[in-house]
Amino acid sequence: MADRSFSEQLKRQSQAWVAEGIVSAEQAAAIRSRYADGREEPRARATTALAVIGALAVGFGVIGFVAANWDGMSHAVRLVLLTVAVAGSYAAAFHLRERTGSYPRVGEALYLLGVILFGASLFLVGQMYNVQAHDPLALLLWAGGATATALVVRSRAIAAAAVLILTGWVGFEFGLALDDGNALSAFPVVAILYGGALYGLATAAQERIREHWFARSGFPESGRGVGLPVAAAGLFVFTFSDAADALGRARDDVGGFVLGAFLLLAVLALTGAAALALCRRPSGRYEAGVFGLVLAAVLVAVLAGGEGDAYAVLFNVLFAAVALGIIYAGYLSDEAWLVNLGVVFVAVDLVARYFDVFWSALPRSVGMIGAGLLVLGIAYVLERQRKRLLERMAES
Amino acid sequence: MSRGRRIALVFVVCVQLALPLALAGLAAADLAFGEEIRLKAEPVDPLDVFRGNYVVLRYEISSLAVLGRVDRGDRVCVRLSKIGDAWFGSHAVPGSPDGTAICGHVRDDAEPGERVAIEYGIETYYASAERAREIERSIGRGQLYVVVDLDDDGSARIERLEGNDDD
Repeated sequence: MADRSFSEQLKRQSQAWVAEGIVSAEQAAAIRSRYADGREEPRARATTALAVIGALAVGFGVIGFVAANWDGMSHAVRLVLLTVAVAGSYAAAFHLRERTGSYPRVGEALYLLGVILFGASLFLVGQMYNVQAHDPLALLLWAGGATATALVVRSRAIAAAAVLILTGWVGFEFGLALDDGNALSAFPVVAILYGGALYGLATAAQERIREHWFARSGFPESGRGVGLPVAAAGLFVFTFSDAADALGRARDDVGGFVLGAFLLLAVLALTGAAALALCRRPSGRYEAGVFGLVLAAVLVAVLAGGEGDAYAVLFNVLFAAVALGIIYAGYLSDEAWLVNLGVVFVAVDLVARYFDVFWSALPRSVGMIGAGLLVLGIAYVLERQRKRLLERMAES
Repeated sequence: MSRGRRIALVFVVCVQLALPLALAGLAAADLAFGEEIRLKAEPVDPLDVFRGNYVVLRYEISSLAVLGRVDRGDRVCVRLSKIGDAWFGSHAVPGSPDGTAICGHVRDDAEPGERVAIEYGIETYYASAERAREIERSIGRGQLYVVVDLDDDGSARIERLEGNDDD
């Protein structure tokens, strides 16, 4: 009880300090978090989650309202309404989070709402005037606005939104450019290159500039959290023989501007792999090595072509290495989310292989027993290493 | 929040408020000052006219012969002639012809004399569910026309849709 009373007093005092201009709202939040009661953490997370869900619900509600075309209002009235809504949510967010510091989590959620409404405004204008100049441009403008807001107000939720919107833009651009002939089968390559580059560069940034404010801006962790699943999903597609086969045929349909964009992504991906290899992360070299192998396999499949079944075997081995490697990297780096993500990939792979026609030639039960034994063996090795580590820590 | 970041926040918010308004202003100016023409159109999929809240349209000038070699994405223009209430075009040329012309981008490579699909940026029309039903009835009764505003450079923007009964 004494601790709770202290934290409540600290909260009241820190709000007074902010009001008197002794400390900024950010400094007050930092002081409160330093003395935070451990029991408050889940409550704070729940508040943040609820506030963000509320902001998302309102934001998507507005987008849905916009998409439904309100005939009863003139263009000018619609624009004024959205402009007021954007300005209002930013003003309320500033008041709650920066000026008084009284409701920082709700304030952050209102910043997020402002970003969503900015995107809704862009799409509304497109819809009102039947703009069809270049559809993905609105996503790029939205991502730019979200990035600027996230950097200025230093919000992890908005940083995550900005990374997701940017990813949507990349997907939309390449989807449009490749939506012709056999080229769409090269789309998962975009996911591998873009996702891998995002994960590699974000991980290296997080490791190298640990003390810099940008490392805590939410961008590095969002880049990692979005990049890795996107890259793994792209690789997963090629574990099916038809997709691997189609990839070889796609090279004739990729040229000009699209080829240039692919090369740019490939350079970014290689840079991401190099950055991973050079960072101080315990699993950095292993991650860079596996990513390098995936890049090499994709390039060979695109440039040399050949039998889809042979590539499917190669990509299956690589996907297994990635999924199990993610668990191992999470274990080495003490990152529970990586372990969980790796377990999900392993589970998805096992289910997919069970139903995949590619494995039908093999007795499925034998394949499952083999895969299960392999996973059990890896778990055994990991647990043994963990025990040794704990013993060494106890001795020292 | 430091003073510098407050100023940055004000700047970011102002840009986010101004950008949609500026885009709307540019579009409104195009509509106000452009040359109004009427094109015959039809929905791409007559069985599923409105996907969500928009209809995908094609025009008689959406597929035309080109007079020069073009690569995918090249800009071409079509000189338009008025026949009755509507405007029509017979061929596309790289570059800008004299007179009333609409310009777009070709979807494929093509040799001189070959037909090629052309996109003018007026292939999508948004409408409310109620308006969509009205337009569907117009399509069922007869022809569909799209009133388009043309800029000096040949770029086009949809003003409205008209059915036969809207004349």
